Amino acid sequence: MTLSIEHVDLNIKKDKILTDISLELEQGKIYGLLGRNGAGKSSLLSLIASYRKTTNGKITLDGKTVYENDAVMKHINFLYNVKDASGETDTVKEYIESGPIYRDDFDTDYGFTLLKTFDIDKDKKISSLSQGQQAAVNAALGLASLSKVTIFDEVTNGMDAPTRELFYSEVLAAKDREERIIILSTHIISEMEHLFDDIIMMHNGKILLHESTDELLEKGYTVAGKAERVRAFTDSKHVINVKFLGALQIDTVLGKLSYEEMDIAADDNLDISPLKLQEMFISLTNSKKEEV
Amino acid sequence: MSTKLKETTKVFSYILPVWSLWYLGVLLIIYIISHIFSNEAMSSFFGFTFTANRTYMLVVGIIVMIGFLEWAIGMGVSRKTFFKSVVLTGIITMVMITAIAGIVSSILSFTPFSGDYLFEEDLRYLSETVYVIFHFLSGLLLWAAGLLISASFMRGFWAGMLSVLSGILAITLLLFSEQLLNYLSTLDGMMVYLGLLLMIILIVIYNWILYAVIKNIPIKIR
Repeated sequence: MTLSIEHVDLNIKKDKILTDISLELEQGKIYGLLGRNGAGKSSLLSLIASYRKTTNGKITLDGKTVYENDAVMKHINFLYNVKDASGETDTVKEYIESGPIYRDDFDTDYGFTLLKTFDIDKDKKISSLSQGQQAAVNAALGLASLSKVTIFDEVTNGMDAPTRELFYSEVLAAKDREERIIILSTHIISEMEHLFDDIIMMHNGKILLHESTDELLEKGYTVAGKAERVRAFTDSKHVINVKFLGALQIDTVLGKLSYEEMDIAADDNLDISPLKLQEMFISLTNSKKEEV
Repeated sequence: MSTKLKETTKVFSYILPVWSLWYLGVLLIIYIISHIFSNEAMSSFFGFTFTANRTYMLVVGIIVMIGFLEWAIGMGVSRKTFFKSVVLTGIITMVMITAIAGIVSSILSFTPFSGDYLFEEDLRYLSETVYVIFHFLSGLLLWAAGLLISASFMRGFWAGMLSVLSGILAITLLLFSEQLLNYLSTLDGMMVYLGLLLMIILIVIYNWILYAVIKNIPIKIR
C-alpha cells in the first residue's frame, strides 16, 4: 500500500500554504512530520484526509484518488484535538462503540483495551474529561480504527508525561502496524524521535527533507568537551549548533567522522555522540540563519 | 443506496427524531396553554404546527450543517454522500413531524383542545390534501435554505450573508406560493398541481445551490 502525494500545491485566498509537495509513504512505517508553527503540517494532513481540496497536484492511495472518494476516505483516519468539546454529549463508550459504523476495520475490543491502558473511565462524557484525557481517547480511537492511514496531528498536546509515554509504546505496538501508515505530527521531537522510521521535515510550506531516521541521524554527530578543544576539533567542520554547559562546549556537526578523527577526539577527551534530531530540526528550520 | 449513505442517513434519522419529539412536545404545551387563555377561534394542533414546522426545519438545517459536516468528513464520508444524506434526512424528518402532529391532533380531537378548524382561514380555498403536500414541500425548502445558510457561512462571511438573503427570498417565495396556490385552486384543480410543481422546482434549485456550495467546502480544523 502506498500513499502518493504528487506535486501538491495549496493556496488559500492569496496565500501560498503549500508548494510542490511530493511524497511517497509506504505501509509498515511510522512517519514523523516535523515543522515549526505555520510550516504547513496540518494543511498537508488536511489534504490527505480530504478536509480540503488541493489547488494543484493529486493525492492517491494505491493509485485511487483520495478526495471525495468514499471507498478510499474510510481507510484514512485523521485525529486531532478539538479545542472545545463542551458540546459533546456522548460518553467515551459510545464513541468507541460508534467506531465500526464507518470504519469496517475498527476493533472495538482493542479500543476498550486502550482506554484501560490510558486509564480512561468509559462511562464518562467526553465533555467532562480533561484535555489530556480527551487526547488519550483520540489516541485510542485512532489506534483502534486500524485504518490503513492513521494520522495523529499533535495528538499528545495536553497529555501528561506518563500518558505520553504510554501512547508512544502503544504506537510502537499498534495492532496491524505492518499494514498501516502511521503519521505523527509533533513539536515534541526529543520524546518521539525513537518512534519514527522516516522523518519528513517541512518549512515554509515546502518539504525540507524526507529520509529514514537512521540515515538522517548518521549525517552528523555532537562533540562535547572542554571549550577550546571542541573549538579546535570542529574548526573546519559544518557546525550547526553550539551550546555551553559551564566550561563544557557541545557542538552539533553535520558530516561523518573518519577513524582518524575519532582517535583524535578520544585523545582530546572529547565525547562523540549521535546527532540529536531536535537540534538538527532547529538548525535546519532556523529562519534567522537562512537570512544570514 | 451505498452503505455510507445508508449509515449516515441512519445516524441522522436517529438524532433528528429525538430533537423533533422535544420540539413537538414543547409546541404541544404552547398549543394547550394558548387554547386555555385564547378567546379567539384556534386551528387544530395539526394546523398549529405548520408555520412552526417551517421555522424548525430552517433552524435544524442550520444546526445540522454546522454540527455534522466536520464529523462526517472525519468519519470518511464524502461531501456528496453527506449532501444526499441530509436531503433524505430532511424528507424523513418532515414525514415524521407531519405524521406525529397528525396523530396528536387526532387524539386531541376527543378533548377540549380539538381546535375550531383544521388550518388557517386564509387558506380556505386549498383542499386539505393539497395543503398538507404544500406544507411538506415548504418544510423541505426551508430545510435546504437552513443548510445553505450555515454552509455558506462556513465558506466565508459574505457568502453567508448572501445566503441569508436567499433564505429571506425562500420565505418570501413561500408566502407568495401560498397565496398563489390559494388563487390557483379557485381557478382549476389542475392549476394547483402546477403551483406544487413550481414549489418542487424551487426546492431543486435550492438543493442544487447547496450542493455547489458544499461540493468542495474546506473543513477548518478547530
